[in-house]
Amino acid sequence: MAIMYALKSSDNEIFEVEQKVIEQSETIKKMIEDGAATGEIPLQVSSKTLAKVLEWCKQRQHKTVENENDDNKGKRKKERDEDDDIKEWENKFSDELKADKDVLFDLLLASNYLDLPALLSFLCQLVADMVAGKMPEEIRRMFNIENDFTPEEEKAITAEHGWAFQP
Amino acid sequence: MEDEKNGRKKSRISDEMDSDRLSNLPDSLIYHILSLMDTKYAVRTCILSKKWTNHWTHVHSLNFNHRSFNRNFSFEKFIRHILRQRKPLNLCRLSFQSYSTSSSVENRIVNYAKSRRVEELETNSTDLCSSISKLQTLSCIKVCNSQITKSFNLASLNTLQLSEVGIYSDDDNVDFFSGCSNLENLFLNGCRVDKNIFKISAPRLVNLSISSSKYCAIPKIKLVLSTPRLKFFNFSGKYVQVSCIGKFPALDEVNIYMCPPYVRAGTKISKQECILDVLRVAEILHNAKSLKISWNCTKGSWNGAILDPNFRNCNCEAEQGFKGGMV
Repeated sequence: MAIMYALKSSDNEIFEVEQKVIEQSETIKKMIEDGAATGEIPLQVSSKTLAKVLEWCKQRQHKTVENENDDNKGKRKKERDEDDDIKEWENKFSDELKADKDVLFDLLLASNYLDLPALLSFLCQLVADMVAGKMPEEIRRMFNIENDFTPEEEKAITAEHGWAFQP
Repeated sequence: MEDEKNGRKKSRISDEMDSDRLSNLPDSLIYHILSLMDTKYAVRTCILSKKWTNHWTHVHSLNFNHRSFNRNFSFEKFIRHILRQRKPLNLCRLSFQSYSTSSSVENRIVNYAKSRRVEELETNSTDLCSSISKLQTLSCIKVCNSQITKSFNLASLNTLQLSEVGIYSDDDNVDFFSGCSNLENLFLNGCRVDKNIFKISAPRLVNLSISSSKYCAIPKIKLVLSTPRLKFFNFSGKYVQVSCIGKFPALDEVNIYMCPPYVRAGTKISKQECILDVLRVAEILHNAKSLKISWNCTKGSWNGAILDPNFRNCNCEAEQGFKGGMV
Protein backbone atom coordinates (compact mmCIF):
# COMPACT_ATOMS: atom_id res chain seq x y z
CA MET A 1 0.00 0.00 0.00
CA ALA A 2 1.41 3.38 -0.96
CA ILE A 3 2.00 5.91 1.81
CA MET A 4 -0.55 8.71 1.63
CA TYR A 5 -0.30 12.27 2.85
CA ALA A 6 -3.05 14.77 3.48
CA LEU A 7 -2.45 18.21 2.03
CA LYS A 8 -4.54 21.10 3.32
CA SER A 9 -5.15 24.02 0.97
CA SER A 10 -5.34 27.62 2.18
CA ASP A 11 -9.15 27.37 1.94
CA ASN A 12 -9.09 24.23 4.13
CA GLU A 13 -9.73 21.58 1.55
CA ILE A 14 -8.00 18.24 2.12
CA PHE A 15 -6.21 16.38 -0.69
CA GLU A 16 -5.10 12.79 -0.12
CA VAL A 17 -1.96 12.22 -2.18
CA GLU A 18 0.58 9.44 -2.57
CA GLN A 19 3.98 10.23 -1.12
CA LYS A 20 5.74 9.55 -4.43
CA VAL A 21 3.57 12.06 -6.24
CA ILE A 22 3.97 14.82 -3.73
CA GLU A 23 7.70 14.33 -3.16
CA GLN A 24 8.33 15.97 -6.50
CA SER A 25 7.88 19.15 -4.50
CA GLU A 26 11.17 19.86 -2.77
CA THR A 27 9.37 22.02 -0.23
CA ILE A 28 7.03 19.21 0.85
CA LYS A 29 9.79 16.60 0.65
CA LYS A 30 11.81 18.65 3.12
CA MET A 31 8.78 18.98 5.42
CA ILE A 32 8.34 15.21 5.38
CA GLU A 33 12.03 14.56 6.02
CA ASP A 34 12.11 17.06 8.89
CA GLY A 35 9.20 15.24 10.47
CA ALA A 36 7.12 18.40 10.28
CA ALA A 37 4.51 16.56 8.25
CA THR A 38 2.42 14.74 10.81
CA GLY A 39 -1.27 14.77 10.10
CA GLU A 40 -2.29 17.39 7.59
CA ILE A 41 0.31 19.42 5.72
CA PRO A 42 -0.93 23.02 5.54
CA LEU A 43 -0.04 24.81 2.31
CA GLN A 44 -0.40 28.43 1.23
CA VAL A 45 -2.06 27.37 -2.00
CA SER A 46 -5.76 27.56 -2.87
CA SER A 47 -7.66 24.33 -3.51
CA LYS A 48 -8.21 25.25 -7.14
CA THR A 49 -4.50 25.79 -7.75
CA LEU A 50 -3.48 22.79 -5.70
CA ALA A 51 -5.74 20.57 -7.80
CA LYS A 52 -3.98 21.84 -10.91
CA VAL A 53 -0.55 21.29 -9.35
CA LEU A 54 -1.47 17.72 -8.46
CA GLU A 55 -2.81 17.12 -11.94
CA TRP A 56 0.69 17.95 -13.22
CA CYS A 57 2.48 15.89 -10.55
CA LYS A 58 0.37 12.81 -11.20
CA GLN A 59 1.01 12.99 -14.92
CA ARG A 60 4.78 13.23 -14.28
CA GLN A 61 4.68 10.40 -11.77
CA HIS A 62 2.71 8.22 -14.17
CA LYS A 63 5.38 8.79 -16.81
CA THR A 64 8.33 7.83 -14.58
CA VAL A 65 6.64 4.70 -13.26
CA GLU A 66 5.84 3.51 -16.77
CA ASN A 67 9.42 3.97 -17.86
CA GLU A 68 10.68 1.95 -14.92
CA ASN A 69 8.36 -0.94 -15.67
CA ASP A 70 9.23 -1.07 -19.33
CA ASP A 71 10.78 -4.18 -20.69
CA ASN A 72 12.93 -3.89 -23.75
CA LYS A 73 10.72 -5.40 -26.36
CA GLY A 74 9.17 -2.82 -28.58
CA LYS A 75 10.46 -0.13 -26.27
CA ARG A 76 11.29 2.33 -28.99
CA LYS A 77 7.86 2.37 -30.50
CA LYS A 78 6.30 2.51 -27.08
CA GLU A 79 8.52 5.41 -26.07
CA ARG A 80 7.53 7.29 -29.19
CA ASP A 81 3.85 6.74 -28.52
CA GLU A 82 4.29 7.81 -24.93
CA ASP A 83 6.14 10.95 -25.98
CA ASP A 84 3.24 11.77 -28.28
CA ASP A 85 0.77 11.19 -25.44
CA ILE A 86 2.72 13.44 -23.10
CA LYS A 87 2.99 16.17 -25.74
CA GLU A 88 -0.74 16.00 -26.33
CA TRP A 89 -1.43 16.17 -22.61
CA GLU A 90 0.95 19.12 -22.20
CA ASN A 91 -0.61 20.97 -25.12
CA LYS A 92 -4.04 20.61 -23.59
CA PHE A 93 -2.69 21.70 -20.21
CA SER A 94 -1.06 24.82 -21.67
CA ASP A 95 -4.09 25.71 -23.80
CA GLU A 96 -6.20 25.79 -20.65
CA LEU A 97 -3.69 28.01 -18.91
CA LYS A 98 -3.41 30.40 -21.83
CA ALA A 99 -7.19 30.76 -21.82
CA ASP A 100 -7.27 31.58 -18.10
CA LYS A 101 -4.18 33.57 -17.21
CA ASP A 102 -5.19 33.95 -13.57
CA VAL A 103 -4.83 30.20 -13.18
CA LEU A 104 -1.51 30.39 -15.04
CA PHE A 105 -0.07 32.93 -12.61
CA ASP A 106 -1.50 31.18 -9.54
CA LEU A 107 0.18 28.03 -10.75
CA LEU A 108 3.45 29.83 -11.49
CA LEU A 109 3.61 31.21 -7.96
CA ALA A 110 2.60 27.87 -6.46
CA SER A 111 5.28 25.97 -8.37
CA ASN A 112 7.82 28.51 -7.15
CA TYR A 113 6.63 28.17 -3.53
CA LEU A 114 6.42 24.37 -3.67
CA ASP A 115 9.77 24.17 -5.46
CA LEU A 116 8.66 22.13 -8.47
CA PRO A 117 11.43 22.88 -10.97
CA ALA A 118 9.94 20.97 -13.92
CA LEU A 119 6.56 22.68 -13.64
CA LEU A 120 8.20 26.06 -13.06
CA SER A 121 10.33 25.74 -16.22
CA PHE A 122 7.34 24.57 -18.21
CA LEU A 123 5.27 27.57 -17.13
CA CYS A 124 8.06 30.10 -17.59
CA GLN A 125 8.61 28.79 -21.12
CA LEU A 126 4.90 29.12 -21.75
CA VAL A 127 4.92 32.78 -20.71
CA ALA A 128 8.17 33.40 -22.64
CA ASP A 129 6.55 32.03 -25.80
CA MET A 130 3.52 34.27 -25.24
CA VAL A 131 5.73 37.37 -24.97
CA ALA A 132 8.37 36.72 -27.65
CA GLY A 133 7.78 38.19 -31.08
CA LYS A 134 4.81 40.37 -30.05
CA MET A 135 4.46 44.13 -30.33
CA PRO A 136 4.67 45.99 -27.00
CA GLU A 137 1.07 47.12 -27.25
CA GLU A 138 -0.03 43.53 -27.77
CA ILE A 139 1.94 42.32 -24.71
CA ARG A 140 0.54 45.12 -22.56
CA ARG A 141 -2.99 44.23 -23.58
CA MET A 142 -2.46 40.52 -23.06
CA PHE A 143 -1.13 40.91 -19.52
CA ASN A 144 -2.83 44.13 -18.50
CA ILE A 145 0.41 46.08 -18.18
CA GLU A 146 -0.11 49.79 -17.74
CA ASN A 147 2.11 51.94 -19.90
CA ASP A 148 3.31 54.56 -17.41
CA PHE A 149 5.67 56.30 -19.82
CA THR A 150 4.83 59.68 -21.28
CA PRO A 151 5.02 59.64 -25.08
CA GLU A 152 8.34 61.53 -24.85
CA GLU A 153 9.77 59.05 -22.35
CA GLU A 154 8.69 56.13 -24.50
CA LYS A 155 10.33 57.70 -27.52
CA ALA A 156 13.54 58.25 -25.58
CA ILE A 157 13.71 54.72 -24.23
CA THR A 158 13.04 53.25 -27.69
CA ALA A 159 15.81 55.41 -29.14
CA GLU A 160 18.18 54.39 -26.37
CA HIS A 161 17.59 50.73 -27.22
CA GLY A 162 17.39 51.31 -30.96
CA TRP A 163 19.86 48.46 -31.56
CA ALA A 164 17.26 46.00 -30.30
CA PHE A 165 14.42 47.40 -32.39
CA GLN A 166 16.10 47.07 -35.77
CA PRO A 167 14.65 44.44 -38.04
CA MET B 1 -10.82 15.56 -11.05
CA GLU B 2 -13.90 17.00 -9.41
CA ASP B 3 -12.25 19.79 -7.44
CA GLU B 4 -10.64 21.05 -10.56
CA LYS B 5 -13.91 21.21 -12.49
CA ASN B 6 -15.62 23.14 -9.71
CA GLY B 7 -12.65 25.44 -9.48
CA ARG B 8 -12.68 26.21 -13.13
CA LYS B 9 -16.39 27.06 -13.16
CA LYS B 10 -15.99 29.56 -10.36
CA SER B 11 -13.36 31.69 -12.05
CA ARG B 12 -14.37 31.31 -15.66
CA ILE B 13 -15.55 34.92 -15.59
CA SER B 14 -12.02 36.28 -15.50
CA ASP B 15 -10.73 35.82 -19.00
CA GLU B 16 -9.43 39.34 -18.74
CA MET B 17 -7.17 39.79 -15.76
CA ASP B 18 -7.81 42.99 -13.90
CA SER B 19 -4.37 43.27 -12.35
CA ASP B 20 -0.93 43.18 -13.92
CA ARG B 21 0.15 39.80 -12.65
CA LEU B 22 3.12 39.42 -14.95
CA SER B 23 4.86 42.58 -13.69
CA ASN B 24 4.03 41.62 -10.11
CA LEU B 25 5.85 38.29 -10.27
CA PRO B 26 9.00 38.06 -8.14
CA ASP B 27 11.95 39.47 -10.09
CA SER B 28 13.71 36.12 -10.15
CA LEU B 29 10.80 34.61 -12.10
CA ILE B 30 10.74 37.51 -14.54
CA TYR B 31 14.48 37.04 -15.18
CA HIS B 32 13.88 33.35 -15.70
CA ILE B 33 11.13 34.02 -18.24
CA LEU B 34 13.27 36.56 -20.13
CA SER B 35 16.16 34.07 -20.20
CA LEU B 36 14.01 31.57 -22.07
CA MET B 37 13.39 33.68 -25.16
CA ASP B 38 15.42 35.15 -28.00
CA THR B 39 17.41 37.89 -26.25
CA LYS B 40 16.19 40.40 -28.84
CA TYR B 41 12.65 40.02 -27.52
CA ALA B 42 13.85 40.07 -23.93
CA VAL B 43 15.43 43.50 -24.49
CA ARG B 44 12.31 44.75 -26.23
CA THR B 45 10.32 44.36 -23.02
CA CYS B 46 12.15 47.48 -21.78
CA ILE B 47 9.39 49.70 -23.19
CA LEU B 48 6.45 47.87 -21.61
CA SER B 49 6.51 50.09 -18.53
CA LYS B 50 8.99 51.80 -16.20
CA LYS B 51 9.29 48.67 -14.12
CA TRP B 52 10.51 46.71 -17.14
CA THR B 53 13.26 49.10 -18.28
CA ASN B 54 16.14 47.14 -16.79
CA HIS B 55 14.72 43.66 -16.25
CA TRP B 56 16.43 42.27 -19.36
CA THR B 57 19.90 43.15 -18.03
CA HIS B 58 19.48 40.41 -15.42
CA VAL B 59 18.93 37.49 -17.81
CA HIS B 60 20.90 34.40 -16.83
CA SER B 61 21.04 33.05 -20.39
CA LEU B 62 21.66 34.64 -23.77
CA ASN B 63 20.04 33.53 -27.00
CA PHE B 64 21.54 35.09 -30.12
CA ASN B 65 20.05 34.17 -33.45
CA HIS B 66 21.02 35.79 -36.75
CA ARG B 67 17.58 34.89 -38.11
CA SER B 68 16.04 37.56 -35.88
CA PHE B 69 17.86 40.22 -37.88
CA ASN B 70 17.69 41.14 -41.56
CA ARG B 71 21.26 42.31 -41.73
CA ASN B 72 24.39 40.88 -40.21
CA PHE B 73 25.50 44.37 -39.28
CA SER B 74 22.44 44.82 -37.03
CA PHE B 75 22.99 41.40 -35.48
CA GLU B 76 26.58 42.17 -34.56
CA LYS B 77 25.69 45.60 -33.21
CA PHE B 78 23.03 43.97 -31.08
CA ILE B 79 25.49 41.45 -29.64
CA ARG B 80 28.02 44.14 -28.78
CA HIS B 81 25.38 46.14 -26.92
CA ILE B 82 24.20 43.13 -24.97
CA LEU B 83 27.68 42.10 -23.88
CA ARG B 84 28.32 45.64 -22.71
CA GLN B 85 25.06 46.30 -20.94
CA ARG B 86 24.11 43.02 -19.33
CA LYS B 87 24.74 42.96 -15.56
CA PRO B 88 28.03 41.26 -14.64
CA LEU B 89 26.37 37.98 -13.69
CA ASN B 90 27.40 34.44 -14.43
CA LEU B 91 26.01 32.94 -17.61
CA CYS B 92 24.00 29.72 -17.35
CA ARG B 93 23.51 29.21 -21.03
CA LEU B 94 24.63 30.71 -24.30
CA SER B 95 22.95 29.96 -27.56
CA PHE B 96 24.64 31.41 -30.62
CA GLN B 97 23.26 30.71 -34.08
CA SER B 98 25.07 32.66 -36.74
CA TYR B 99 25.36 32.66 -40.49
CA SER B 100 28.53 34.65 -41.08
CA THR B 101 29.55 36.65 -38.07
CA SER B 102 32.87 38.48 -38.02
CA SER B 103 35.62 36.85 -36.04
CA SER B 104 36.02 39.94 -33.86
CA VAL B 105 32.45 39.52 -32.59
CA GLU B 106 32.91 35.79 -32.10
CA ASN B 107 36.07 36.48 -30.11
CA ARG B 108 34.18 38.88 -27.93
CA ILE B 109 31.50 36.30 -27.32
CA VAL B 110 34.07 33.69 -26.33
CA ASN B 111 35.87 36.06 -23.99
CA TYR B 112 32.60 37.18 -22.47
CA ALA B 113 31.39 33.60 -21.99
CA LYS B 114 34.72 32.73 -20.41
CA SER B 115 34.64 35.62 -17.95
CA ARG B 116 31.01 34.86 -17.07
CA ARG B 117 31.73 31.18 -16.49
CA VAL B 118 29.26 29.83 -19.04
CA GLU B 119 27.85 26.36 -18.24
CA GLU B 120 25.89 25.43 -21.34
CA LEU B 121 26.54 26.21 -24.96
CA GLU B 122 24.48 25.65 -28.08
CA THR B 123 25.86 26.78 -31.41
CA ASN B 124 26.32 26.21 -35.12
CA SER B 125 29.42 28.37 -35.39
CA THR B 126 32.56 26.67 -36.63
CA ASP B 127 34.76 29.48 -35.30
CA LEU B 128 33.23 29.26 -31.87
CA CYS B 129 33.79 25.49 -31.91
CA SER B 130 37.45 25.97 -32.68
CA SER B 131 37.96 28.06 -29.55
CA ILE B 132 35.63 26.02 -27.37
CA SER B 133 38.46 24.72 -25.22
CA LYS B 134 38.82 28.20 -23.74
CA LEU B 135 35.48 27.69 -22.01
CA GLN B 136 36.58 25.41 -19.22
CA THR B 137 33.42 25.91 -17.17
CA LEU B 138 31.18 24.22 -19.76
CA SER B 139 29.24 21.19 -18.63
CA CYS B 140 26.94 20.80 -21.63
CA ILE B 141 27.51 21.47 -25.33
CA LYS B 142 25.21 21.11 -28.30
CA VAL B 143 26.64 21.72 -31.74
CA CYS B 144 24.52 21.56 -34.86
CA ASN B 145 25.38 21.95 -38.57
CA SER B 146 28.98 22.80 -38.04
CA GLN B 147 32.52 21.48 -38.24
CA ILE B 148 35.02 20.30 -35.73
CA THR B 149 38.69 20.02 -36.49
CA LYS B 150 40.23 20.11 -33.05
CA SER B 151 39.90 17.80 -30.12
CA PHE B 152 37.84 18.92 -27.16
CA ASN B 153 39.74 19.59 -24.01
CA LEU B 154 37.16 20.33 -21.39
CA ALA B 155 37.59 18.73 -18.00
CA SER B 156 34.17 19.71 -16.63
CA LEU B 157 32.18 18.66 -19.68
CA ASN B 158 29.42 16.19 -18.85
CA THR B 159 27.26 16.08 -21.98
CA LEU B 160 28.19 16.58 -25.62
CA GLN B 161 25.75 16.44 -28.49
CA LEU B 162 26.88 16.83 -32.09
CA SER B 163 24.23 16.89 -34.81
CA GLU B 164 25.07 17.03 -38.52
CA VAL B 165 28.63 18.00 -37.68
CA GLY B 166 31.67 17.29 -39.83
CA ILE B 167 34.44 15.81 -37.74
CA TYR B 168 37.66 16.36 -39.63
CA SER B 169 41.32 16.11 -38.92
CA ASP B 170 44.48 15.43 -40.89
CA ASP B 171 45.84 13.40 -38.06
CA ASP B 172 44.44 9.88 -38.02
CA ASN B 173 45.37 9.40 -34.41
CA VAL B 174 43.55 12.40 -33.07
CA ASP B 175 41.39 11.52 -30.14
CA PHE B 176 38.59 14.09 -30.07
CA PHE B 177 37.13 13.42 -26.65
CA SER B 178 39.95 12.03 -24.53
CA GLY B 179 40.55 15.47 -22.99
CA CYS B 180 37.05 15.39 -21.51
CA SER B 181 37.82 13.36 -18.44
CA ASN B 182 34.32 13.78 -17.00
CA LEU B 183 32.27 13.26 -20.12
CA GLU B 184 29.33 10.97 -19.35
CA ASN B 185 26.99 11.45 -22.31
CA LEU B 186 27.99 11.57 -25.94
CA PHE B 187 25.44 11.83 -28.75
CA LEU B 188 26.49 11.90 -32.39
CA ASN B 189 23.63 12.36 -34.83
CA GLY B 190 24.28 12.32 -38.57
CA CYS B 191 27.90 13.36 -38.19
CA ARG B 192 30.38 13.04 -41.03
CA VAL B 193 33.74 11.56 -40.26
CA ASP B 194 36.51 11.58 -42.83
CA LYS B 195 38.94 9.40 -40.98
CA ASN B 196 39.73 5.74 -41.34
CA ILE B 197 39.77 5.33 -37.64
CA PHE B 198 37.41 7.19 -35.34
CA LYS B 199 38.52 6.86 -31.80
CA ILE B 200 36.24 7.54 -28.87
CA SER B 201 38.06 7.31 -25.61
CA ALA B 202 36.46 8.76 -22.55
CA PRO B 203 37.18 7.32 -19.11
CA ARG B 204 33.80 8.17 -17.60
CA LEU B 205 31.49 7.78 -20.55
CA VAL B 206 28.22 6.11 -19.57
CA ASN B 207 25.95 6.85 -22.51
CA LEU B 208 27.00 6.62 -26.14
CA SER B 209 24.59 7.08 -28.98
CA ILE B 210 25.55 7.25 -32.63
CA SER B 211 22.98 7.53 -35.35
CA SER B 212 22.85 7.47 -39.12
CA SER B 213 26.00 9.01 -40.51
CA LYS B 214 24.46 9.88 -43.83
CA TYR B 215 27.56 10.84 -45.71
CA CYS B 216 30.31 8.83 -44.28
CA ALA B 217 33.12 9.94 -46.55
CA ILE B 218 35.14 6.83 -45.89
CA PRO B 219 33.10 3.68 -46.47
CA LYS B 220 35.38 1.55 -44.39
CA ILE B 221 35.52 3.40 -41.14
CA LYS B 222 36.64 1.80 -37.96
CA LEU B 223 35.15 2.89 -34.68
CA VAL B 224 37.47 2.31 -31.75
CA LEU B 225 35.95 2.50 -28.30
CA SER B 226 37.91 2.96 -25.14
CA THR B 227 35.15 3.59 -22.66
CA PRO B 228 35.52 1.42 -19.55
CA ARG B 229 32.41 2.76 -17.81
CA LEU B 230 30.04 2.44 -20.74
CA LYS B 231 26.52 1.40 -19.74
CA PHE B 232 24.35 2.24 -22.72
CA PHE B 233 25.39 1.98 -26.34
CA ASN B 234 23.07 2.80 -29.22
CA PHE B 235 24.12 2.65 -32.81
CA SER B 236 21.96 3.04 -35.87
CA GLY B 237 23.17 3.69 -39.38
CA LYS B 238 25.56 2.55 -42.06
CA TYR B 239 27.98 -0.24 -41.36
CA VAL B 240 31.13 0.60 -39.47
CA GLN B 241 33.71 -1.71 -38.05
CA VAL B 242 33.68 -1.58 -34.28
CA SER B 243 36.57 -2.52 -32.07
CA CYS B 244 37.54 -1.72 -28.57
CA ILE B 245 40.43 -1.12 -26.26
CA GLY B 246 39.81 -2.62 -22.87
CA LYS B 247 36.53 -4.06 -21.68
CA PHE B 248 33.07 -2.82 -20.78
CA PRO B 249 32.37 -4.33 -17.37
CA ALA B 250 29.39 -2.07 -16.63
CA LEU B 251 27.55 -2.60 -19.91
CA ASP B 252 23.81 -2.61 -19.44
CA GLU B 253 22.03 -2.16 -22.73
CA VAL B 254 23.22 -2.32 -26.33
CA ASN B 255 21.12 -1.61 -29.40
CA ILE B 256 22.80 -1.84 -32.77
CA TYR B 257 21.00 -1.40 -36.05
CA MET B 258 23.26 -1.52 -39.09
CA CYS B 259 22.66 -1.37 -42.79
CA PRO B 260 25.20 -1.87 -45.59
CA PRO B 261 27.63 0.95 -46.41
CA TYR B 262 27.63 2.89 -49.63
CA VAL B 263 29.96 1.04 -51.90
CA ARG B 264 31.81 3.27 -54.30
CA ALA B 265 33.23 1.92 -57.52
CA GLY B 266 36.67 0.60 -56.84
CA THR B 267 36.18 -0.04 -53.12
CA LYS B 268 36.17 -3.55 -51.95
CA ILE B 269 34.19 -4.66 -48.98
CA SER B 270 32.69 -8.07 -48.97
CA LYS B 271 29.35 -8.63 -47.35
CA GLN B 272 30.74 -11.66 -45.69
CA GLU B 273 33.38 -9.51 -44.05
CA CYS B 274 30.77 -7.04 -42.81
CA ILE B 275 28.54 -9.67 -41.34
CA LEU B 276 31.41 -11.38 -39.62
CA ASP B 277 32.35 -8.00 -38.20
CA VAL B 278 28.89 -7.45 -36.83
CA LEU B 279 29.07 -10.81 -35.15
CA ARG B 280 32.47 -9.90 -33.75
CA VAL B 281 30.84 -6.80 -32.22
CA ALA B 282 28.33 -9.07 -30.57
CA GLU B 283 31.18 -10.96 -29.01
CA ILE B 284 32.92 -7.83 -27.77
CA LEU B 285 29.74 -6.58 -26.16
CA HIS B 286 28.52 -9.95 -24.95
CA ASN B 287 28.43 -9.10 -21.25
CA ALA B 288 25.64 -6.53 -21.71
CA LYS B 289 22.48 -7.33 -19.77
CA SER B 290 20.51 -6.68 -22.91
CA LEU B 291 22.02 -6.94 -26.38
CA LYS B 292 20.15 -6.32 -29.59
CA ILE B 293 21.82 -6.34 -32.98
CA SER B 294 19.93 -5.92 -36.22
CA TRP B 295 21.48 -6.15 -39.64
CA ASN B 296 19.37 -4.89 -42.46
CA CYS B 297 20.28 -6.13 -45.91
CA THR B 298 17.01 -5.52 -47.65
CA LYS B 299 17.35 -1.79 -48.23
CA GLY B 300 21.03 -1.69 -49.06
CA SER B 301 22.97 -2.39 -52.18
CA TRP B 302 23.15 -6.10 -51.51
CA ASN B 303 20.08 -8.20 -51.54
CA GLY B 304 20.55 -10.78 -48.92
CA ALA B 305 23.65 -12.17 -47.38
CA ILE B 306 25.59 -15.00 -48.85
CA LEU B 307 26.54 -16.73 -45.65
CA ASP B 308 23.24 -18.22 -44.78
CA PRO B 309 19.69 -17.29 -45.63
CA ASN B 310 19.13 -16.74 -41.93
CA PHE B 311 21.39 -13.72 -42.07
CA ARG B 312 19.15 -11.91 -44.51
CA ASN B 313 17.88 -10.01 -41.56
CA CYS B 314 20.11 -11.21 -38.86
CA ASN B 315 18.60 -10.14 -35.62
CA CYS B 316 20.19 -11.45 -32.52
CA GLU B 317 18.53 -10.51 -29.34
CA ALA B 318 19.65 -11.57 -25.97
CA GLU B 319 18.64 -10.91 -22.45
CA GLN B 320 20.90 -11.60 -19.52
CA GLY B 321 23.49 -14.30 -19.90
CA PHE B 322 24.10 -14.09 -23.60
CA LYS B 323 27.41 -15.73 -24.39
CA GLY B 324 28.75 -14.32 -27.58
CA GLY B 325 28.99 -17.54 -29.46
CA MET B 326 27.17 -16.58 -32.59
CA VAL B 327 29.81 -17.51 -35.16
